[in-house]
Amino acid sequence: MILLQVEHIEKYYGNERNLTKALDDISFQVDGGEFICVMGASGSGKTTLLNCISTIDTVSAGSIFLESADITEMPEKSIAAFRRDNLGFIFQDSNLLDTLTIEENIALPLTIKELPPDEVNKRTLEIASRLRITDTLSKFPYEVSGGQKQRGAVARAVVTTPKLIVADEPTGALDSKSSRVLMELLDNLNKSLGSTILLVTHDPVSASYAGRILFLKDGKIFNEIVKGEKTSPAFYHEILDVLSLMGGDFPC
Amino acid sequence: MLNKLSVQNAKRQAKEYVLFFATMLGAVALIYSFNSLVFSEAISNLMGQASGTNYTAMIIIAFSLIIAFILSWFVSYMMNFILRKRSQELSTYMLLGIEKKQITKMFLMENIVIGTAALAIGLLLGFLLAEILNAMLTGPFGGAYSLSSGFSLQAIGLTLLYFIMIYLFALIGSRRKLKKMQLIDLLHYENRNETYYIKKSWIGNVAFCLSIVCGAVSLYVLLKRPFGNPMDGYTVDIYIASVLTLLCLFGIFSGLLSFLHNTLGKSKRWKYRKTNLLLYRLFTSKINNMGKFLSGIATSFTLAITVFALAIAFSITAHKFVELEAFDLTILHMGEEYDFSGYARYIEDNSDVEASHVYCLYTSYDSAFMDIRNQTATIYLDETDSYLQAETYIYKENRYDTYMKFSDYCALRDMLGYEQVDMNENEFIIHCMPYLTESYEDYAKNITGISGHDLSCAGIYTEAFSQYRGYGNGQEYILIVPDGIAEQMDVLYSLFVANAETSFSSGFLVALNNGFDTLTFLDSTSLSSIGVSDDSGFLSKLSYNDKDYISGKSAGASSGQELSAILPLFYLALVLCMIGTVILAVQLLSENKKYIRHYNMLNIMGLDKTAMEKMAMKQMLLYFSLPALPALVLSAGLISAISYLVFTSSFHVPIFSSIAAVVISVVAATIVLFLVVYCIYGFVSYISFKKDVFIPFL
Repeated sequence: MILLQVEHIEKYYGNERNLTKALDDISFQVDGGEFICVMGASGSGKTTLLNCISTIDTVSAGSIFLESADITEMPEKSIAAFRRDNLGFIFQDSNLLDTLTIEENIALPLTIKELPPDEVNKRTLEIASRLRITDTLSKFPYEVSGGQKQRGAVARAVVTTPKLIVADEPTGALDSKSSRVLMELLDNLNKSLGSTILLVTHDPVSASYAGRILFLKDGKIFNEIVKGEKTSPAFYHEILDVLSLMGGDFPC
Repeated sequence: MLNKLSVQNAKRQAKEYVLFFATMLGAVALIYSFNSLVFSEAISNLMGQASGTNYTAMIIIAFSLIIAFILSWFVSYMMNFILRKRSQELSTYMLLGIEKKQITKMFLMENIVIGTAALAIGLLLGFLLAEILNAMLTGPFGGAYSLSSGFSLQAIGLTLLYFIMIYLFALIGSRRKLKKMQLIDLLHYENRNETYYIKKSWIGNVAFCLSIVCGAVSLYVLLKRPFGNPMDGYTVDIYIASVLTLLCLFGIFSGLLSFLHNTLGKSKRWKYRKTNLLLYRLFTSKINNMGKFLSGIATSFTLAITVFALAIAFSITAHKFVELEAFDLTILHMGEEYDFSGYARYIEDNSDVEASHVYCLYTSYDSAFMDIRNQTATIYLDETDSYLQAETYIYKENRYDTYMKFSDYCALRDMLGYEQVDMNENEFIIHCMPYLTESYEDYAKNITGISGHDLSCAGIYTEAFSQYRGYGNGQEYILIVPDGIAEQMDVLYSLFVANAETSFSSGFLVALNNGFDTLTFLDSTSLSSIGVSDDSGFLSKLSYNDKDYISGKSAGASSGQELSAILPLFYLALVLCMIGTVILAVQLLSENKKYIRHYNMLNIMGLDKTAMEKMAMKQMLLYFSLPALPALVLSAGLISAISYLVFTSSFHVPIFSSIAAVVISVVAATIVLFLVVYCIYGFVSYISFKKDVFIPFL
């Protein structure tokens, strides 16, 4: 079943004299329960794409459908409600609120949805236990490590069981071990809960956890590879091959 | 190059930090306007005629020195805020290789440019403010009001001196801070003090409960005054209550955090309902970081409100004193009918006198009406816990019932513009202060005559008639009888009264006094304004037997004395209030980045614009009511106690129909005024907060 359909989207910045084309006629589909990754060098348009899909930014042309709803035509008033009901966000620097404990940060989107307090508490504890962060619940973000913060952020993103989880460089600020733990967590969520994940990264290791990878170059889709039955190491090497083909400056 | 950068930055800073600039403007305008008052002729005349010395000027200078000190602390705070705001930019300069010395110089240059601009514009504003204050203050007191012809050079000089003092103090502080600062400090300066710390112990709960108890006891002490003594004006009670108020304000905010943390914070049912969680955390993180800071603001508000109310109470008292004096000028000659023509000629030649009248007051040495007056006054003095006896507060000359001829009464009513009254040959009229009306009505019904004459009461009148504090038309009452009856009595004293078209200038009164050896001011010394006791046990203000005494609206001592307290009090209240609100707003602005982050995240998580605006509104309401609420409650107690004491100790008989009503009106007026100003300020802050926080992502 198709969950997300991106049709010929374009995004321009600047004015007539100095026009930058950040996204140039991009089209693709994402099925429900899929783990898809968008890769590309800095300035390739991957974050712009993610922002457009997640309604943080608007497109200059084209349409984006989530299930049957065209989010590019959505009135401004209902966009916030759309995000609240359909999307979960994970950012590079976790973006947990400093003044709230990890537990409260996880509960926050549920309180925004105005669920009954008992339900909020139940779901917060459940997701914390599933993500094995129960021991950090009463701590404030500055009291825990980067990896724990990111797991808190993942918990916050998935606690509302959104249709689509968008993750923008979630491992960008983590060391390799924490990155691995986090990516295994996302992989697990995808497999056990069937969460649809759209990951943006330039790290091939993180990308190798995805089922499909779109490569962006100069605002266009340059290539697409599917993991299929391949093992992660094999898939990793395939990614590296594409990257070298693209001539990008990616780490090995 | 660096100078150009500096000027550009100063310009940009002036735009960005309007609040700082406006505050500097306000400070300069206030200092100038009050300094110019000190040197204004109208005010100094008003003071001089009243007390002989210009001691209000000295009080104001002393006050303005204290205020200059407070302002210099405040300017340092604001410079520090700007330093914090621009730390990133300054650290970038350092990273680019500009020397610290140059950066320090640039930062100081900017502040000097801003300061100079504020000084120039502030002086202009101050000039306007001074004119308004001058008109407001001299008008009601009957002083010779004239618009000053232009800028007062002395005031400009003094303002410059204060301003340089204030600025130097702040600049030296900033310079030292910048000099000591390392690049790493500058890079992280903005994030400083953002550590989050929670007191988990029971101490917070106890502190909160104790501060509530302190506040409650303070209010009890103020309203019931259990410790004090009426002789010393309940100073013990006021001191105890003030200390308790300070203790309450000191502990209440830090305590509140722990209390909320231990109660609401632990209740997930409460916390997870709607937007409670965010507000609770914004609220407690604020208290946590700023417990003492909020205490300071609440204290400055409490002080400002109390001082302001005190000024209002003094102002009401001073106006009442002026109002009770019906005539602009009165000259009293003791014991006999007197020819005032010498004085009258001088007055006619040298002033714009509008009307005058010469008459006598008479006595028959009986005291039936005085006894009623004493009974009524005793009830009032008992009610107000006064240590005075009604009998002791009668001047020797007024101890018997005082009489006036009906023809004189008609002439005086005409002179004062009161409606004319009728009286038959077998009637008398009582003219008294309002508080005696009821007692005299009852008494007059039951008598068939007065002073051995068969007379019935034709009416009681209560218009202002120079009856308070004696030596006018009787002590609080006078009996008006047909001329023939009065002529049979002994003359108590004779009076010359005059009203001027505008009012008699203080210079004229001094010249009049100096022009005649036989004249002196009735309230020329503090001793004579109270009176000295003689062998008979009665007080008298008349210390010389061979002198005639000047009194009246234009020569009243009390207006000058009260005025000398009112001015510095208003000054202090304004400055305290201004500092409190500005720091509150600045603190809010300095945390903008944090709030932008918060609201941005909430928006991404799906909180819509309306909900966010509602939340921001709630947040602002909490933020602004937090320090104001305890300040209002505690200062309402302080105000009511202090204004009650001011009214009861200023007047020894009931001047107001209900003292409680006047006290309530003072409390209400002060609080409403404060709230109006505060709400406008809060609203402006809310708008700018909304603009700053929401615009980046909406």
